[in-house]
Amino acid sequence: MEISDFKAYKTYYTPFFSYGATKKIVIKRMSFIDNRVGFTANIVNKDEEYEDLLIEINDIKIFGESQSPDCPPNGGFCHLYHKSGMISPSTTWVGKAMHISMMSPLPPHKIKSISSWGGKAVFNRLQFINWNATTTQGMLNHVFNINSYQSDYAPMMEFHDTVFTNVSADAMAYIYDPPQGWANVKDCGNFPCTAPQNTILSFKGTTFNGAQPSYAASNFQVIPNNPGFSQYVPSCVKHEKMNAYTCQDDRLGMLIFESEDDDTMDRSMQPIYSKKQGTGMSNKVNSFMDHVWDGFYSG
Amino acid sequence: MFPVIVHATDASVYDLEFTGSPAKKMRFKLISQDAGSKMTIRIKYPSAESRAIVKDGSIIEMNAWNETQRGYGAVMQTTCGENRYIGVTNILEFYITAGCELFIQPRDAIQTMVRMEWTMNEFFDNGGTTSFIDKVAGSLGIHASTIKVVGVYTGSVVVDYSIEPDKNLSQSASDLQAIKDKQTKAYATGNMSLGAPLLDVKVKITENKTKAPTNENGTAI
Repeated sequence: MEISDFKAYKTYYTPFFSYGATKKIVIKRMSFIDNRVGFTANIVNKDEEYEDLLIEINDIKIFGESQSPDCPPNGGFCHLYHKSGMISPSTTWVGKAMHISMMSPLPPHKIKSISSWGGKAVFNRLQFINWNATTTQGMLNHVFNINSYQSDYAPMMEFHDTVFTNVSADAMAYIYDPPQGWANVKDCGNFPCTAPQNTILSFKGTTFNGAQPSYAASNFQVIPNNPGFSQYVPSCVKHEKMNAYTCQDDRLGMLIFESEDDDTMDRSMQPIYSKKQGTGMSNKVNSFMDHVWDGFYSG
Repeated sequence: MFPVIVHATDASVYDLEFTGSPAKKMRFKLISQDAGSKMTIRIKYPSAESRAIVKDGSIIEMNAWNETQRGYGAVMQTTCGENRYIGVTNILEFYITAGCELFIQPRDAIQTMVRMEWTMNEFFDNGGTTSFIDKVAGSLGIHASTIKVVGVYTGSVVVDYSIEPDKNLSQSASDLQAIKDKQTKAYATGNMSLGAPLLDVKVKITENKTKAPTNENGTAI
């Protein structure tokens, strides 16, 4: 599946979102300007979930705020929103209709299904232009966010030959802490699901034009503010306004594992603690959210 | 599925501590942009059940038993899937590299725990595990290669061992019951000569009967 040559400006949700039933989707040659929620692409595939499910995104220009204001210059009423340039992609068992006709699947980037094993996200030659860490209205404004519905698995995101032009240091990303609201018996159990704290943005061959953040380098990584992990990686530096760390260590990675027992959907093994010997690491990991896809509400 | 961020440097060793009982059968994969990423994973189990590491559909046998260390040889991070079982503490230890996918699965086996009136030094001075395996094989009339010592520990001397189907004889899990019955009879009638008085014996059969890993066509591998 391939989608190309599309432009979007000041959209309320994502400027672009796809949820194709495929093994590989290629998104290319698009431009997005000053949108509320960043663009992304998903794949729905359960039957082939143990193969690579590749989301490949090439040659996209993502601009920050435009000169056109969100609010009337005379101080009149308007809604204020956080903004982002792109959000994390996902691969799941179940997707949603091409044309959403019910309220439950909204917003478009809402995920209501178990993640597929083989998710792989590769971004080639993306350009991010003119991004400050706050909007002119004082709201958060970041190049990258984790999808706010991604409770279960945000595959490692591999960026190649990315160009940042006038992107301020704190505008790179904001990685949210898993919301306490997920910690209930119908969703994640006793503590929130942990996907947002267990993902990586890995950049190679990167160029910074204009603003030069302290972490500017050809190869670097952005990882969540995971209290049981991030502070114990020697090269990683915390950025409070990003709620994340930047690192220069190619050996960061993701270990994924699952039960293959017949009772995998019924029996809990969590919390599971991942502890690296010789360090203070103790990463508390939860299982997936208990998704219900009944077209009415998510249990 | 459990996604976990890791720092997979050379010689890194991770303990995965499950607060619930670990699944019998599990699938693992390490993902990194650096092909050199690697780590040893250790999982502590509540019991000494016989387990195997499977890669590309084939069991990767544990490192060789080391009589000096009185256990299986340490994981040296040589090839993906290298593994060993640490007796007494019941820890399965295996090595995984970037892009490599591994499975843990139960083995079809007769699990036996035998306690003998011996000291550890007497056990190892009398041939250790090699001699022990030969004696069990001789008493049951089975090939020594089907017997694996899982662990040896004090109390007086306790040996956990497993007997697996003999692939050279095309045996399967269904053949284990007959061997188990024969072993039970041998212990009961005093025909199992292990070199020291027996104090206790416990036997059970484990089976790889959970859902099998499947390939892209849904066929068990």
